[in-house]
Amino acid sequence: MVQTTTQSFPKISPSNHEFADVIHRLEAGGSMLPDTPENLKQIIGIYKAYAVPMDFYWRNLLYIAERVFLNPLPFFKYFLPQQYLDLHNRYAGDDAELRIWRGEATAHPELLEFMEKGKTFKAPKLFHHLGHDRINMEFAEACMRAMFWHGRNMGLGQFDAYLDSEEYKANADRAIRAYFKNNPAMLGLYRLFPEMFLEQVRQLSYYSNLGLFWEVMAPVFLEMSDIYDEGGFKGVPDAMNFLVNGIFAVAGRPIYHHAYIGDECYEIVPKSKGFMWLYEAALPYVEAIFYRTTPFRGTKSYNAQAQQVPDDQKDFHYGILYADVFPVGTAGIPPTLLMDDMYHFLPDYLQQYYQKYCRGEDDVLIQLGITFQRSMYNVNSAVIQALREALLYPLDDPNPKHLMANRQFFKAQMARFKRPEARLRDIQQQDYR
Amino acid sequence: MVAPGLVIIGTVSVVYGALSAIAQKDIKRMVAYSSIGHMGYILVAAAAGTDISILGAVAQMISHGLILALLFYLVGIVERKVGTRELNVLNGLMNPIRGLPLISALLILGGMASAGIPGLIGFAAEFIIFQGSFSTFPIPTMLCIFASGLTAVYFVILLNRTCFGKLDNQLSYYPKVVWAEKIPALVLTVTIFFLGVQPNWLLRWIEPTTNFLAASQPDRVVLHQPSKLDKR
Repeated sequence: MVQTTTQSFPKISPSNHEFADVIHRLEAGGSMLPDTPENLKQIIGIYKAYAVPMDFYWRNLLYIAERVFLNPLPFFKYFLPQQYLDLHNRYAGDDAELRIWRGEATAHPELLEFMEKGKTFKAPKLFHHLGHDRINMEFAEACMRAMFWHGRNMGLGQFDAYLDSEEYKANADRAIRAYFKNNPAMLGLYRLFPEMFLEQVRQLSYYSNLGLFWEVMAPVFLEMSDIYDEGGFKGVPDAMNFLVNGIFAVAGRPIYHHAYIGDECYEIVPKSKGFMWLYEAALPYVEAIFYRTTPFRGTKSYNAQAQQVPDDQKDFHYGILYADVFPVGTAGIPPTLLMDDMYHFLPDYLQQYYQKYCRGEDDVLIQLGITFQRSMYNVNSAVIQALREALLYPLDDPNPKHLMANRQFFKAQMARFKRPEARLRDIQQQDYR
Repeated sequence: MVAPGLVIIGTVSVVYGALSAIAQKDIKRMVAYSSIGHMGYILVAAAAGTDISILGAVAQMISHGLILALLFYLVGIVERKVGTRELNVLNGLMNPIRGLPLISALLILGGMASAGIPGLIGFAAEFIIFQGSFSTFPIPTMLCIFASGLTAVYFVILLNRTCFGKLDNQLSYYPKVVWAEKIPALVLTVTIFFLGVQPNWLLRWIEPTTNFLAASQPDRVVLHQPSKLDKR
């Protein structure tokens, strides 16, 4: 079990970097987020509020990738069938291959209750769907699209490159022909525009990728909430270490895309390709969603001539680590959809906490959005520590040259937060709400 | 001799008030110069001395009293909640989550009333003044109409800078506006709107008096038909 130490071993001189405090904290085994009881309460509470809708997201993403597939009129793709609500999470329940969460493997009970009644009353599913009194699956699709769009440009993994290989095209071709076996019109359209159908299948492969990623994260966050309720976390570094251990435990989980057409399973991205959770899902997700994403419509005015949007995708800085959680608009853009989802599953202690600050109930969505930003800095810290552990040296290494290499690594990570939009400075203050 | 002098002072007041308001960076001072300008209309109308202009002068007194009371009150609320009156600092108060949306909306309404937008009491009073004064002092009246347009300029500046734009989250931990603070503004707004839609409900009370005042002046100019009230 990896335990990033929380003691300091001063074998090298203090850094004079702009973020020296944060670097020293990372070198001591801590997180980018300061270690305070308030921060711990906020991040654990929001992890739990995030995990319950995430339980829906991963199931629905897999349902769309595997069953909805290339349905040309997927009006009911968000209507998750019972089969997928009963689908066992492979990291929870008695039959888990690696049990991370002590709870059941099927859909979370709070999720089922919300799906039945919404925030209003029990009504036919279609009413809840049209009234947006449901889990906002559009957020999950926006995350998928960000990963898909940034794809190979992130320079991480081989998954995206595989989607252009002849083997993948052959697998996809088989699946497409099987899916439209009795539909000559669609087969004709496929013959005319093969690349269009292939691109749709590539997108579905990313649905599967993200679904498999979140299948792991949901039980991780739920278990963290349970441990906190028992008093098992002494501080923010403890919570971060749990994430680091979780990352290493699941790093090799296969990433694949199987489509179920009729009675057959078509391996579009086979497990045998050896794509691993850490390199093909987790790291691309962090890069695409935490750092880059895309500018959200309605939140900014973009002047192409003034080059307000960077030409280079690498310079995109619209992810959660840079987001102004307090947008001019309100509902509709993906972050506000997630904020709405999390609002429904806030633990009591966090609801009471938010009542005490700012406008209380009136601006609780903003408060929880900022808490979510803090929590994702903690997750990002876990990823940074995990990478440091895998690629560099332990924090208590006696060799100063090794410690300096660790420091250079941390400084390189901090360089991405120097720009004014980064919220690393803000999260150091408790009154950033 | 007296009337032309008064009308010059009044016109200068109107134009100077409007131009000064445009130059202000403090919203309270902006509203104060607006008030100076609007008092000039009253002087111009009184100097013209016709039935209609005197009616307009009294109507403007009431209208000005209501509108400026509302504007000063709202500016005071903004200062109390935000902590500043500086135009360069204020921004995005219309934000429904952490701003002052109702206060901003009423500020917009107050600005419209002051600028003389039809449907609000400010329009009724100013229109009567211009109509009553034009025959006696056409050029000063035209200058007042021009200055009335300038009112829209400085109120658009005020509203654009304070109400619209993006509220900076690093500054926006403002206390909520409670109902006890909202009610006086709402009462004034309803009155401004109500009298704007039905100005006769105000004018019928003052018309007999203003007609008497106009009739008692030497060389008066009669510009209106006798109303039913005169027959009482």
